Amino acid sequence: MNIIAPQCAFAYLDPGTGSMVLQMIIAGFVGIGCTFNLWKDKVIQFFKKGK
Amino acid sequence: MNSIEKQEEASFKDPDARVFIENGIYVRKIYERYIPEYKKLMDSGLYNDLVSKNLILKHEEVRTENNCIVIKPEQVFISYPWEWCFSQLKDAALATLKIQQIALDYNMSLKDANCFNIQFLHNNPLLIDTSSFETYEAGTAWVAYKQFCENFIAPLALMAYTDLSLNGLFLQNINGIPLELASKLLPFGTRFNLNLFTHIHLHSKMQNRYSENSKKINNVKINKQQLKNIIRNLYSTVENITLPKYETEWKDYYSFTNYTEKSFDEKYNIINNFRSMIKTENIWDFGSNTGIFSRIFSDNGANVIAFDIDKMAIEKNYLKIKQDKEQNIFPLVFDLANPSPALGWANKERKNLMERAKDVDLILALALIHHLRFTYNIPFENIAKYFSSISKYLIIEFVDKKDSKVQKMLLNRKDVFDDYTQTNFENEFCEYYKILCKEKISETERTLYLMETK
Repeated sequence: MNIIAPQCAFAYLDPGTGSMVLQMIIAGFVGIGCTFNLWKDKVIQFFKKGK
Repeated sequence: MNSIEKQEEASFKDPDARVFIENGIYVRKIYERYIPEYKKLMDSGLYNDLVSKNLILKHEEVRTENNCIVIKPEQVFISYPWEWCFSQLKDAALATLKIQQIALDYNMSLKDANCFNIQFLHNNPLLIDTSSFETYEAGTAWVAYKQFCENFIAPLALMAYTDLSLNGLFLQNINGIPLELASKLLPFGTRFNLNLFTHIHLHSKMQNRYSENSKKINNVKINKQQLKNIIRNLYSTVENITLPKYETEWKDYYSFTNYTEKSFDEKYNIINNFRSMIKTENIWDFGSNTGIFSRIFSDNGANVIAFDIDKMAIEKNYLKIKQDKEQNIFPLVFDLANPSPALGWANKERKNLMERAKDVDLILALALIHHLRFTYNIPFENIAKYFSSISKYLIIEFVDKKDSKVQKMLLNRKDVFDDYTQTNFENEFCEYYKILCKEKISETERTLYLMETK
């Protein structure tokens, strides 16, 4: 499994390998939830304007 | 410039900047290697944006020396997550995420996300670590994600779903609650909450899975939009962690059982009169409950820290403060018989409460002395000595043994408290104080005293 490890010079914190891998997994899924919410908001707006 | 300077002992982890104390004032030295990032924070508009949204501590640049920039931030009373109520921790979490979200818009990112970076000024959670930003590198994940989960999501979930006192775990785990521990302590049902499952339970398993990893990993990207979505998801995860309904239902929280309406009003008026007799700016109210008497002072411009051992009382006080946008009263959870200790490396990273007491001029000890004496067995002399070491003035309520609350406390135990008399109380306290004023509250067995240290 490949993940980009931050190359930044300033991060002194250990990000945790497992945590980085998890973010990559989540990245694929959160988009679905956010897109759904965005579309839901747009639909609600559309009907509100229509009134 | 001739100033007395010493390094703040809690400030050693980040090599980019260090906090110093100069003549009693906190300043931050930004080292040469970090200056380009600092300039980016200031020049890109990110700093001003955060200031306008009340999310970062304001600072002024004081001078440059040896290729460092020295900045002086607004001074703030330092408090710790084990002293915060649930909603204070939650607001600190939400502020951290808002800051990260805004930072990404300016192509910057927080390099850490621990509780200690957030402090409350006028009850607003603010980032105090001005050097916590770094340039966002396209494609990278959030380096502080793990720390955020350990410092915020885990303790919040534990407080809401297991026990309200579990932010006390910070005392043993000052770098954040280990996710494996949180996962074990949380009710099984939290696994069915997708967000909690991901950020705590699955996260814990991933940490274990990769803990022995010896391969360097590189390549795949998380794009900026995906990263922002993750932050948004974390935000809604935190927002949705709420205390159980029965905890938050309003009850008449302040116990009036020992006061009639008349005697309560009288107590209020006596304290108000005492207030007008002395000049005070910084008050510590021990046993403040929901802050009714603290407000006699804070409503008149003084700064009050309202302490109480009861976490729900502090929660209710904090929620009221937010609703009414009060600035002069700051509630904190605190056990007077077991105050927050000094912790961390060399016991110097996090300070005990007395080390943070600055210019306290008055202590309020209302409806407290009988708890200290009977529940915790602390003699009058010890109480007087402790209080007199903190502040010049004291307003204390002596609760006689005839009081019904005390009677209840002594009901099923041997009364070994022969020394608990009003005369003895006055004698012991007069070793450290002179009594300026004394008033009995009618229709009660309670007397209010205004004292000044000798």
